[in-house]
Amino acid sequence: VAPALALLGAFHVVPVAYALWLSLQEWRIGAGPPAFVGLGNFRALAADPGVWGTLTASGTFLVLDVLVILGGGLLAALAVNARPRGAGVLCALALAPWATTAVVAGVIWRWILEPDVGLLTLATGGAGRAALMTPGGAMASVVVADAWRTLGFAVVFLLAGLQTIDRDVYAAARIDGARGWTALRHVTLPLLRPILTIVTILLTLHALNSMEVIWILTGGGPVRSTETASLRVYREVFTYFDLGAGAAWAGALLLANGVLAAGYLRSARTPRGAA
Amino acid sequence: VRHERRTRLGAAAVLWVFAIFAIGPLLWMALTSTRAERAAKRWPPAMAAQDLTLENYGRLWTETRIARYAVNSLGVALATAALVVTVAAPAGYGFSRFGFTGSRVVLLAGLGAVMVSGMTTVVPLYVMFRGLGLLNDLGGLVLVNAVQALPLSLWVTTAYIDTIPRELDELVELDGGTPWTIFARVIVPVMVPALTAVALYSFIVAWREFLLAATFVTRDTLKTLPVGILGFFTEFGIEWGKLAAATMVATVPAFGLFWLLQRWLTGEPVARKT
Repeated sequence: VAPALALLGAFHVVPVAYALWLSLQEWRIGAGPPAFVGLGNFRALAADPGVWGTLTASGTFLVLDVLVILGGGLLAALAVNARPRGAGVLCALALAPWATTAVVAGVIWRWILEPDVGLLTLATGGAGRAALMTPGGAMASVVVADAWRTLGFAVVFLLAGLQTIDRDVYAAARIDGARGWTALRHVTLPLLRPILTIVTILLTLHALNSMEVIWILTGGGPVRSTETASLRVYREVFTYFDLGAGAAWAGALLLANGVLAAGYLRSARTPRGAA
Repeated sequence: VRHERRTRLGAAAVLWVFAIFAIGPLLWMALTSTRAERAAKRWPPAMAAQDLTLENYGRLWTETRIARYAVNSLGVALATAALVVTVAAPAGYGFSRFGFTGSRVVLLAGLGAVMVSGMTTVVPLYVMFRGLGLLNDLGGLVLVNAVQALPLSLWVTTAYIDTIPRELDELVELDGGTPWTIFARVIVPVMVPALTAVALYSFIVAWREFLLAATFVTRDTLKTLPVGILGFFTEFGIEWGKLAAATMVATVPAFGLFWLLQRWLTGEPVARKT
């Protein structure tokens, strides 16, 4: 056990603590040693007029991304679980994009959505040009591209959950006259709730923290409409070399991660009738 | 019965839609990689025989360091898989058989911590690695990749060892075996499937990892595939054919492994019913 814990500790616990310490420092790479500024970075963060834009972009991306992946993943998992002809192969194909690196996902979707030469522009005779050039189109694009890559992950978990549900339960439900939508709403979803909670948490954390696809697809644009908090962290540190500001954003992000995860767990524990 | 058949047809249709959505973009990229650059922007994308070419791959090979990046990626991914297996197997054994009070909590907390921290660790790791001289060092990359893959791997090994009956341990113990001989003679042989899954998973995690590699490695000869490809993206005014060929190089090996992993993940039921 010891080596595993040591690895986790050295490269995980220490960095998190260090990040919080950094967020209290004024430190620009190449501009002298760090200086303690207390909550100065957070104050600067709150005073930044761009902060609302970043929060809106993060929030919008978070909600859309989680809903699309959860809804799509549930639909796909239910379809696999119904065991139609060819389910195994089709399921494997649907999961495949999970194995691609974010860069490849970004490049592929950029090649499809690129305003001048992309497949969408060619296929729609120019109407697809809007995909990356308007704020709404850009947000939709990053959600689709990210969902494309992440869907398989949700399907695997949800399918595992579905397969633990005893088929006799459905037989019993049918005797009571519940089938189709009714069975889904009153039998499947309540039984799936623990897994749904876990998947929702994982997807939320994923949406909050992943920035690679957005970076490649839109770079946060146009006019910062897709600049999420995690992209902001990266920008502050590796574009503007402002470690303190980056760490402050990272601290805010960590707080959001923790609060949301705890919130889901709580709501999952509170019984809410037969949802 | 009719109702059930309709459900199955509907399910098949839904799955086809998902499969096409998943594979379509990849096929489009594969197609782009085998067409001459001049044909790439033509619509409709009819395949004329004279457009079909491997020149993109040829130019990728001669004009870029793609082979170097591929070797780096492969090395990092293999080392990560080896490290994770070596660490996770005995740790899983420890968690399963010698759990101290609260050890499960530690395990869960570890899993949670890695999930929750995400972007938060990139910056401090960068500063730490700069201090330790681990920037531009593939060994450092192996370490951080292993940490990414470790929590879930620990979870898998612990859960798997939990299913091995303790009576087996006791038999070896009666023969005078120590915990280490139990581990080597009983646990490891039985858990080969779990270790295979852990190795495949860790390999893929390392193979597709991008953010940390992009941050820690700036020297061109040390770049991994994703970072190298990002370099093409910004540097050569985007030659899409060549870029498409590069994405194929990065994607195809991962798919082979992923195919094996998903069969393990989705378990027997799906595989058996096809």
